[in-house]
Amino acid sequence: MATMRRFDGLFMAGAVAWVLLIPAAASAQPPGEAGAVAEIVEEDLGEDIEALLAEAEEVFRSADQPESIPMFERIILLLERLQAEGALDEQGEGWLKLGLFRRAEARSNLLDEDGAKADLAAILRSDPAWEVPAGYTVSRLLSDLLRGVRDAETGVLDPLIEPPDAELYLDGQLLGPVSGPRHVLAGERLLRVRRPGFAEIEQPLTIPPGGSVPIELTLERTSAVVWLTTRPAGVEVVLRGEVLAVSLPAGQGFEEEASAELAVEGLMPGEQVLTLRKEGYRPIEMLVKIGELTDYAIDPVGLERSRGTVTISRVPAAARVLLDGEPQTLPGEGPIDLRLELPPGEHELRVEAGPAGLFESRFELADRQLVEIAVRLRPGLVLLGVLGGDRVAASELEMRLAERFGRLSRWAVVQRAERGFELLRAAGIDRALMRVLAADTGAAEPPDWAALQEALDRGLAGSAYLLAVLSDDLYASRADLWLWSAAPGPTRPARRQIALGDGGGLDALAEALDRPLRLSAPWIGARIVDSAAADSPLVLSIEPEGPAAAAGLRAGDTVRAIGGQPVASALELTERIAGSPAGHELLLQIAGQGEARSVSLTLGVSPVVASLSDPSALDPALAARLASLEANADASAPTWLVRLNRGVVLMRSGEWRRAAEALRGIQAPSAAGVGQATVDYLLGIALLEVDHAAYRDTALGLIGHAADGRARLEHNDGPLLAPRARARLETLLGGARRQP
Amino acid sequence: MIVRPGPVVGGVLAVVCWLPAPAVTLAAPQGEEAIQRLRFEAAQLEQEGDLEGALHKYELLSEQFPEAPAAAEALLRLIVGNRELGRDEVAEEAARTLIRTHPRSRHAAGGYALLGQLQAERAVDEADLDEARETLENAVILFPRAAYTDQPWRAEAAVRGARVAQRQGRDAEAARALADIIDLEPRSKWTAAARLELAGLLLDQGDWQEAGSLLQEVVDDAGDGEDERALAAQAESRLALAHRLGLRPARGEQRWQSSRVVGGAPERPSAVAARRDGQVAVSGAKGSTVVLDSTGRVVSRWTHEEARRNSWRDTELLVATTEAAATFPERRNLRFASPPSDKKPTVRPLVAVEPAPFGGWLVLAAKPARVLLYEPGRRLHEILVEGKGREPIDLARDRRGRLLVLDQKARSVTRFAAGGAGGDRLIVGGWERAEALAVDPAANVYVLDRGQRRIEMFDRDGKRLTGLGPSLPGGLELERPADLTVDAAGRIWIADSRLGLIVVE
Repeated sequence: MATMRRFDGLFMAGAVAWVLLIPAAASAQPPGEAGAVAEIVEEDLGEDIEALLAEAEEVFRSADQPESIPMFERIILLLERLQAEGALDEQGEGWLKLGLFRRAEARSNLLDEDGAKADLAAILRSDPAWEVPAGYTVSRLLSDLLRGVRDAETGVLDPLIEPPDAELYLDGQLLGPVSGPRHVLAGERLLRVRRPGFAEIEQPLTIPPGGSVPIELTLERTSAVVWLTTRPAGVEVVLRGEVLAVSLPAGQGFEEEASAELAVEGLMPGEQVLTLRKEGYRPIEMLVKIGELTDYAIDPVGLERSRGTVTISRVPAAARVLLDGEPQTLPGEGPIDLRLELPPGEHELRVEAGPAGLFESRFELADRQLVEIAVRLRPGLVLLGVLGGDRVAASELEMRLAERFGRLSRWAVVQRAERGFELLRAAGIDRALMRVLAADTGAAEPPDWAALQEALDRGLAGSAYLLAVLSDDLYASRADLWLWSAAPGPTRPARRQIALGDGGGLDALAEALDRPLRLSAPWIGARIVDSAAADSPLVLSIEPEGPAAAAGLRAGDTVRAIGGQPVASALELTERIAGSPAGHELLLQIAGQGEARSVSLTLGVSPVVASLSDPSALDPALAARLASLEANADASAPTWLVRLNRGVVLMRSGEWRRAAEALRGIQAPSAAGVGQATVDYLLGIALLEVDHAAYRDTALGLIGHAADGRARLEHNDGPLLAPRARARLETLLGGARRQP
Repeated sequence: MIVRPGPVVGGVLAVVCWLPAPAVTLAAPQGEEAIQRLRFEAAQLEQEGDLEGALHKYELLSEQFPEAPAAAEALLRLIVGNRELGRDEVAEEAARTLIRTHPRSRHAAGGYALLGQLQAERAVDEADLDEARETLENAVILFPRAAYTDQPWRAEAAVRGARVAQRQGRDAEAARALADIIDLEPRSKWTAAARLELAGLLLDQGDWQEAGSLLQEVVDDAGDGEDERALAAQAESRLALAHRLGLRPARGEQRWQSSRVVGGAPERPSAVAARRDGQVAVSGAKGSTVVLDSTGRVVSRWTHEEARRNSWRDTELLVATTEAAATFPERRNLRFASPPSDKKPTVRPLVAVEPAPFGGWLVLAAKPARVLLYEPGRRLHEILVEGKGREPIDLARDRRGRLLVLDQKARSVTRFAAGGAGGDRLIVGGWERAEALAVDPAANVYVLDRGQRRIEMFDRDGKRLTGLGPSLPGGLELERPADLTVDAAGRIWIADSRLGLIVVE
C-alpha cells in the first residue's frame, strides 16, 4: 500500500524569485466558464434527443405502445450514427442505452423476444455491467431475457490488486480502480494493471460466459511519486532536461484552469530539482527531497503568466487604440496615459486619431520589461488607389506609390483603395469626371468637395487622401495625383501631374509632402538686400526692437562676412542664417560710414506663415500637417499660430468663409511682426470676400489695425503690412468693388 | 469666323486625307478622336516651330467643334499665336469668340487677359483705358480663387490691370490688386511682376524701405527662366535706386559718390538715354549712336542725322533729329505729319520724341511750341499742348504718364496731365541755360543747366533736393554737358560734348 506524505517548506526560492504562488482570483474561478460556447452546442443537441425520448416514452406508456418502437428506432439510429462518427459523449451513450432498453421492453411486450434480446445484447456489449436504470420496473419476461443475455455475453472478473488505487485496463479500456467482482464481456481478454511509481503488469485471461474469474495481483514499487495539480494545465515537469510529465486539463479541458491531478513518477531518493514550465508563463523550480519510495503530495502549483508592461503616453482625446489589431478600451477622455500588461513578444500598436493623424509602432516586449511609448501622431496619408483602365500602368503606379510614399518620414501611410473607391463612387467621382476636372475646361460641374471631404473623414479617418487618375484607359503615359485634406483643411484638392515613365514627378511630390513644417524661423530684425551700389549685402532697414538693432547694426551698413566667412549676396546671408537656431550668436563683419567693425548678433525667433513663405507648399498637405501638429500640442507651435496658418491655407484655396471662421477669435501677440494685426488684416480680407457689402465696415476696422505700426505678413522679417493695408483701406473708402 | 491670313491649302488637304471613303468634301473628322488628332497635330507643329500650320489646325478645331471644351483651348492658342505673329486683330476676334462661346472655361480667363492687354495697348484715351481695365478685371472677378484655384491667367490679368490703373492714377486700386496677387496667388513670374509693380508704387510714395523689401524678394525667388531673370535684373536696379535715392540721404550721405568717363561713346556726345535693363544709348554730334550695356561694353552702333534727343520704347531706340526720328534696330526714319492747319507737311524742327503709352508717339516741336500725340501709325491723334511755352527744349514723362516740358527761355518745368490738361509750373529755376530734363523711376526731376554746368534735382512736387556740378563726386568736372538721363538704378548719365559720356554713381 502506497503512503502519501506532504512536503513542508521544500519549495526552493530560485536565484531570483521562484516563488510558488497560486493567485487567489484564479483559484476562485469556477471551472468550465470559458467553454460556454462549446457547452451550448452540446446542450442544443441534447434537448432534441431528450425531447424525442420523452415523446417516445409517452407513446410507450399510452395505449399505442407499438407506435413507440419506430420512435425509439429513430432515436437509436441517430445516436448510433453519432457513435460511429465518434461524436457521442457520455450522456449520448446513456441515451442510446436507454433507447435500446425501452425498445427491448416494447418488443418483449409484443413478444418479439429475438428483437428484445438483440437490443439487450447491444447494451451489454457496450456496458457489460449495465443494470436496469433506477425508476424503471420491467416485466418478468424482459428480466428473464436480460439475465439470459447477460449469461451468454458476460462473465465476472473478481480482482484483488495491491495497491488498491491501481488502474485496471481490459483490452486497453480503463475499468477504473477496481476491487471486487464486476461483469465484463466474456472471451479472451488482455488485462493490464498500472499505477504511478509501480511496475506495470500485463497478462491475458479468459472470461467464461456466465462464469467468474478471481485474480490477485501485487505491483512492485519502482519510484517515488509526487502528486500535484498545476494552474494552468499543460505544464511540463522537467527533471534534468527530461520531461517527466505534462499536466492535463481537468473537467472540460480548458488549459487556463487547474489541471487534473498529475503523478510525477520516476523520482528516486535524494534531492531533486523539478522545473515546471509552460510557454507564456514564468517557470518555477522546486527542490524536492525524496526519502523513501512512496507518494508525496504538494499544494497546487500556479504559474504566473509572463508579462511585460507597456505605457502608451499622450493618447489623444477620442483616439482609437488598437493593440495587435484589437481595439482597447480607454479609461477616460482627453490625453491619457494607457498602461497595459502584455505577453512577451512582438506587438503592434496603432493609434488612430482621425484628421489629427496616426501613430504606429512595433515593439518587442520581454517578461517583466517596462516599455514606454509616447504617442506622436503623424498625419495619416490614405492612398485611395489608381483610377484608370490601363491595368498595367495602374498596377505599376500603385506599387510605386506604395513604395515611394511608404518611405515618407513625416506621414503614416495606409492603403485603403477598396473603401476609398466605394466612397468616391458614392460621391459621384469617377475617372472620367476627374479627367475633365484636370483639363479644367469648365465642361464639368465640380463635385460637392465638402461632402466628399466629410465622407472620406467619416469612412477613412485620414489626415489627407491621395488618388491617382491615369491619363488614358488603354495606354496611359501620365497620371494626375489628387490630394485632399481632411477637415478642417481645404475641401478642394490639389493636383499634380506626373509622367509615368519618370520617377522625378513622384519624388518631387513626396519631397514636398515630407518637407519640414516650419512655423518658426530665426529672426534678425533687419532687411538685407543686394544693391549694385554696394559691394556686399546692404542693410536696408532695421526693426527698432529687433536683434540687429540690439547688436548695433544700422541701415546702410554692409555685411562683409559671417563668422569670418565672406558673404556674397543677401540670399546667401539669409540661407546661412536660416540654418541657425534661435539664440545662436552670429559674429558679423560690418562696414559702414567709413569704418569696419565686428558685431555679435543674437538671433531671435519669429513665427512663420508657412504657406506664404514656402512657394512649393501643397496646401492640403500643409493643412493635414497643421491639424496633426495641433493635436500633438507641440509647444513650438502655439495654437494661435497654427490657426493663423490654417486660415491662410484656406484663404489660398479660396475658402473664404472657413478661413474667416479659422481666423475669427485668434488671440495672437500684439508685438511687431506677425501677430494680432496680421490676423486682423487677413480676417478683414476674408470677410470682404465672403460678402463685400455686409462686412465692409468690419473689414475697414480690421484692416485698419495693420495700417499703421509694424505688423508683418510672412514672418518678422517679412513684408510690412502697413502699405498694403493703406491701399486696401483707400479702395474700400473709395467705393464699392466691382462684383461679378 | 476667324480671319486667318496666310496659306491654308496644305492644312485643308491634310484634313481631306483623313476622311473616310464616302466623304469627298471638306467635311470634318467627327467626334472626340478627330478633336484629339487636331490637338495633337497642332501641338506637334508648334513644337516644330510651324506656328502658321499649328494655328490652322487650331482654327479648324475651333470652327468644326465649336462646342467642344478643346475649342476653348484652341481659341486661346489662336490668340497667343496670332499675337506672336503681329496679327492683333485676328487675336482680338479669337479672344471675343472665346469669351462668348466658352465663358466658363478656364481658357476664357486667358481670353479676358489677352483681350484686355490688346485694349490697353491701343488705348488712346481714358475711356479706352477704362474698357481695358474692366476686361482685365473680368479675368479676376469671373474666375475667383474659390472656384478656380489654379488659374494662372488671373495673376497676369491682375498685374496688367494694375498697370492700367496706375496709368489712370488709381494707385491704391493698383496696390490692392497687386497685394492680392502677392498674398494669395501661387508664386509665379506674375507674383514677381506684381512685387515689382508694387515696389514701384511704394518708391513713388517714398517708401523705399518696403519697396526694397519687395524687390529683394523678387531677386531671391527668381528661377532660371528668362522672364524671371529679367524681372530680377529690374529688381536689382531698383534696389540700387532705393539705396542711392533713399538710404544714402537718410544716413546723411551723398546720393552719388563717384563719377567716371565711360569709354566707347562717340565723339562729342549730344544725346543720351538709358533703357530699363541698364543699356545706354549715346549719340554723337556727327550722327552716330552707340549702345552700351550695363558694364560699358559696346553692344551696337548706328549712323544717322545729328541727334538732338534719345529715348527708348522697350527695346526700340528713338533718336530725334531735327526733321525726323530714327528708330533702331528697325532703322525706320519717322516723319510726323503736321496738323492740317500748318503750311509745312511735317513737323520740324523736332526737339524731342518720346514713346507715348501703348505704341504712340509724343513729339515736342519748337515753333510753334507744341506737344503732339501721334497714334502708332503716326497719324496725328491730338495736339496735347499748344501755346503754353516760349522755347521748349526737352520733354519727359513721369511714371503716371504726365508730361513735363522744360522751357529754356522761361527757365521752368511745366507739368501737364497725360492728356495735356493743366499746365502748372512745377519748377521755376534760376538756370543760366537749361538744356535737358530727366525723370527717374521714383518721379524725381532733374534739370541740366548747361550754362552753370550743373544738374539740379527736384522731388515730384518740385521741391529742390540737391545739385551736382560743375565738380562731380570723384573729381570730374563738367565742361559742356548737353544731355542727361537717369537709369533704373539711379545713376546719372551725362553726355558732355567735351568730356564724353559720364556716369555718376
